[in-house]
Amino acid sequence: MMLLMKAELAKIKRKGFLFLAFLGAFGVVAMQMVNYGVRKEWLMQQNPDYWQYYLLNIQSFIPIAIVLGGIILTIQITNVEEETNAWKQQLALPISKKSLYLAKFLVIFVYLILAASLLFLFTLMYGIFLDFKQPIPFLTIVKESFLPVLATLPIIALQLWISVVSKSQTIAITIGIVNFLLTYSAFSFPEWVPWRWPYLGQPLFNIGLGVVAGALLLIVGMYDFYRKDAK
Amino acid sequence: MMTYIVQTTNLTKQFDKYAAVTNVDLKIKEGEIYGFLGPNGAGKSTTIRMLLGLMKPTRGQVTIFNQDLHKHRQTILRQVGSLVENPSYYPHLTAKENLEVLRMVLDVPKARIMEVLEMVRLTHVANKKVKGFSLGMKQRLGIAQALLHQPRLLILDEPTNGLDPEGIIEIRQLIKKLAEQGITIIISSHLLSEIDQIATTIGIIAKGKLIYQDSISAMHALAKNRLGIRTNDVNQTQQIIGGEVEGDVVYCTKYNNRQVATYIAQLVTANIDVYRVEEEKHSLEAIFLQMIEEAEHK
Repeated sequence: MMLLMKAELAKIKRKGFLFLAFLGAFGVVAMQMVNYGVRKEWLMQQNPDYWQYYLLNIQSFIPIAIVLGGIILTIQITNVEEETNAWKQQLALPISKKSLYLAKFLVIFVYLILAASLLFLFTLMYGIFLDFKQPIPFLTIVKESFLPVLATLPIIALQLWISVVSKSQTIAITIGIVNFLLTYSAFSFPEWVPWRWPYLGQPLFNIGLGVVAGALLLIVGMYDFYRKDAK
Repeated sequence: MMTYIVQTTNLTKQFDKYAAVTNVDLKIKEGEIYGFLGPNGAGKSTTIRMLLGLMKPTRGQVTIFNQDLHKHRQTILRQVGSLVENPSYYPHLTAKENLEVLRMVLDVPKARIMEVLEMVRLTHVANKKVKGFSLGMKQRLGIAQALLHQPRLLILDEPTNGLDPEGIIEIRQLIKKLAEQGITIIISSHLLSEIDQIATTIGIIAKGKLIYQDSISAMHALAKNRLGIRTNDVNQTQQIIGGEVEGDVVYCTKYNNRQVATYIAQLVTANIDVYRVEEEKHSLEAIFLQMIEEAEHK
């Protein structure tokens, strides 16, 4: 599996995955740089716990950033195979079809975790820069940075499945846009709707469901890919 | 018992209601260059895809290296190199990086990359992005990819498609060289002339059915040549040398050098003006077309 993941990483060289991970994390914090840059004093009056209020502001942008980033990553990682139909070459190699699928999923997951790590770093750095003079809630920042990734897994697994088996990437892109818009407007949805999960309204419930549904969709997608003839 | 390196039995692929391949029994011996010939859409690529496990047959069995492909896919593919239809590559990577991706998966030594690039004469562009390659170079890279893990069996689907004459000759020479090293090669094409020049055995597929399979020399034996003699007097010529008259030419089918000399001497003695003595090859092409036509009318 490590070999296959390394090969996947070699394939997406120069495809801007690192930049995307950086951009996603930085973008979320950059929003607050503007926000606090313009009206720091007013914002500081909203809540006596400055860190909590700052993190709340950041958190509102995390789900759409992760979902958008994840969708772009899944489309890119399948697009490298689609461009010259390298699927037929990959699948004529002495590797298992399921492992190839899993390797792609894991590489996306690794990039999302990387983006989350950067998000943690940027959140912390700008928070320190804002100089709240209150103790830093490290654990909360860690949770806020990493947990949404787990709640987003079903959307990522679904996107990968569609990208890999659909005849044209247009379908994957269309569904990607729908997924993004649903995440964007998820506030008005009930708590059980998957697009609501990344907001972590009820963290334990959201993460638990995210991981279970994500794993299920991953397995279903993997078997569907395995079952189908190569393109 | 004769052992085959590749053998299929009743290989069939059905797409909805349309049968792409029907009951194909390929028999390919070790060390052969097997020419897999058929018009476009005859089922060549579908068959090849089934040989590589890219498609699951609707019915029938594929045996490679005496192992069932369905059961031992990975073990078999470890010794098979392939180039299916258009070459597949990652355009944003260099030739070397493209091979590196495969090298990691196939787990062969790094030095092998330069070896295969050397074989297909792409060393000078090893560090250039494949995006800018000509079709011929991409095709050669495809062959390099197929050779990376030193396969025992090489499957090339239309490797000369879209190449210029020079490129075709180059690939042909490469294939011959590989065959000399003992690699068994399956090469598909819709061009008889292409197959005729390199294959040792030929399999012809039309409308999804294998209509001919034998050595290339056996197919040549089917092609009968005849000698055409054109003179100023057809009837008298026929009386002297026999044969059949077609227009103003007399044709005979059984002849050797000695006989031809005798015929000419006789004609000259009889005061007949000999304009032309031509050997007419009843081409393989004609036989091929006839086979295809018969298959299509069935």
